[in-house]
Amino acid sequence: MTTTWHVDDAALARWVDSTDGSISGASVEQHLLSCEQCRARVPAEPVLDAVWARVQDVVEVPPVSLLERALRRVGLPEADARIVAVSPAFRGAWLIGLATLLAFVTVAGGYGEGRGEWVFLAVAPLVPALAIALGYDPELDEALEQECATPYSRLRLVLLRSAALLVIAGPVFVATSLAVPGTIAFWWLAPAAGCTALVLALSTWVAPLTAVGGVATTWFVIVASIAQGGSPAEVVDERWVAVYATVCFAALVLLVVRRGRLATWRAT
Amino acid sequence: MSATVRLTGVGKKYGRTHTLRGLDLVLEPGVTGLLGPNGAGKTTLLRILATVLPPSEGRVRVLDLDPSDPRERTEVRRRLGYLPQELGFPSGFTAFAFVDYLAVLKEWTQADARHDEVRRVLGLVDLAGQSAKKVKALSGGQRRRLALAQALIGSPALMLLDEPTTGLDPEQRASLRGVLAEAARTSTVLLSTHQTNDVAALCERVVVLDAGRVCFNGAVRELLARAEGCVWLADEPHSSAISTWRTGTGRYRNLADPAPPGAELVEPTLEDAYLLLRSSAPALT
Repeated sequence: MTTTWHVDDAALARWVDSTDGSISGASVEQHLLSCEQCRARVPAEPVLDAVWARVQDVVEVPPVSLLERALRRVGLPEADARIVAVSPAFRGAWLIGLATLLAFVTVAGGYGEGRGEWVFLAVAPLVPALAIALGYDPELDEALEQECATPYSRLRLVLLRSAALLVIAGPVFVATSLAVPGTIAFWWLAPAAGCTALVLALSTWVAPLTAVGGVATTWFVIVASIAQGGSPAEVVDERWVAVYATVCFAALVLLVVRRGRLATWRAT
Repeated sequence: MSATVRLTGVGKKYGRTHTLRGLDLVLEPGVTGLLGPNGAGKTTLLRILATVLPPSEGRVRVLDLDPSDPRERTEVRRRLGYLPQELGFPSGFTAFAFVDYLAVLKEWTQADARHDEVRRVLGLVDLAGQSAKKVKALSGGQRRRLALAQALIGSPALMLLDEPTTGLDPEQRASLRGVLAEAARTSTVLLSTHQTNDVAALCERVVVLDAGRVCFNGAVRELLARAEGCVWLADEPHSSAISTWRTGTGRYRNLADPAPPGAELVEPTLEDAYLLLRSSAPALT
């Protein structure tokens, strides 16, 4: 077979570098199969290097995790998606543990009447805060010391991991709210938001899991004091929801103001 | 020669305990060894220089930047390679994935260039053939080399290495010395170690810390010179020797300042000089 046209230098260079589009690349490839003259113009080394690099990638580069793929699909840059996906909080055991805890207290809240609702209100608002703390606690983040010595913003890392976790856990929280009857349904998310923001802010002073311990203790005391003479609905009445909203706002301001302390590794 | 690191009156306190106090130090390009007993403050000093720990007092300049300023701290981190003493590896990672992850954090956003760089640093530490292996399947020495590989990403201007040769066999240590010597052509390397052999083989200068203070800062040969005439061989151990042991030939190698008259002097090692320095240092609290 004879051919009357030949691949120009620019197209040939694009094909060699694999930067050609799939259709024009396939067209150049088909032409090269039949045209000895153009084939002779293909430099051997770059092609071999490119093929070798692709082979190495197949062997060495680990497959992208399901979570990382999903995060990239929703528009997160590769670096951010990777940093979120390696978070210790996304390890199956932690997620299953937290989901089980939430399921137990939800069942208690839904079917345990008064006492069950108190158990639900004491525990459920702490679950999102605990989940977020797991995402960047030094005890669980094995490579923390090197991570802190890189230019990647620690605040960005914490907020990205926290946001991803809350988005992923969102349907679980909605399902939980639907399963809990009465006035506390959905309103339990107000103290949950306050506790979560408070943990984020306090972790500029202490390790995140220590912050969860402090917040949990305070929360138990608040719930117990209301339980002395009130009903579960009082925990989420207008006055208290205003308090949770104020705490949440103040904690987030504090987090932004003290963000530099998140970037500093603390001996634990 | 311009200083890469300049510390003025730097101190670090944990509660009431002073880990570092009144540290004045200048580091220039080349390899500087950091010696000192456990608890001397070596790791704290490296953490301060790596910008992961702020000092309690004093002034720190790294690469002519001020790490207390957030913007300048980020710039320092762009030009820094840091190997901590105890390195954790995220679970489930392969050797390649681990270095690749740290490269992502070091702003290598182009995947192809990043993968090439990961291969380059894994090759430097002789782990190119192990790149697809899970980190938990690597030996202790291989993990240490993997940890070093991440510190080499991007040929940083300042490398802070906390005991990089721990757990390495003699061949690996020799190979690693080659890598560090090559890196020191263009970088400033601070090498914290208990291995005086590594310091003797690699370093132009040595800093000795004791109880958070600098008790020696100078050329390796100056430290060695302090032990000249203090090491000798004898048939019996010397009663006032700082260190003495029976060698393979059955004779005793004694270290004391000064050696007795007429002693059969031998060439001191850096370890001798270090032990002599430690024994003469005033007790610091």
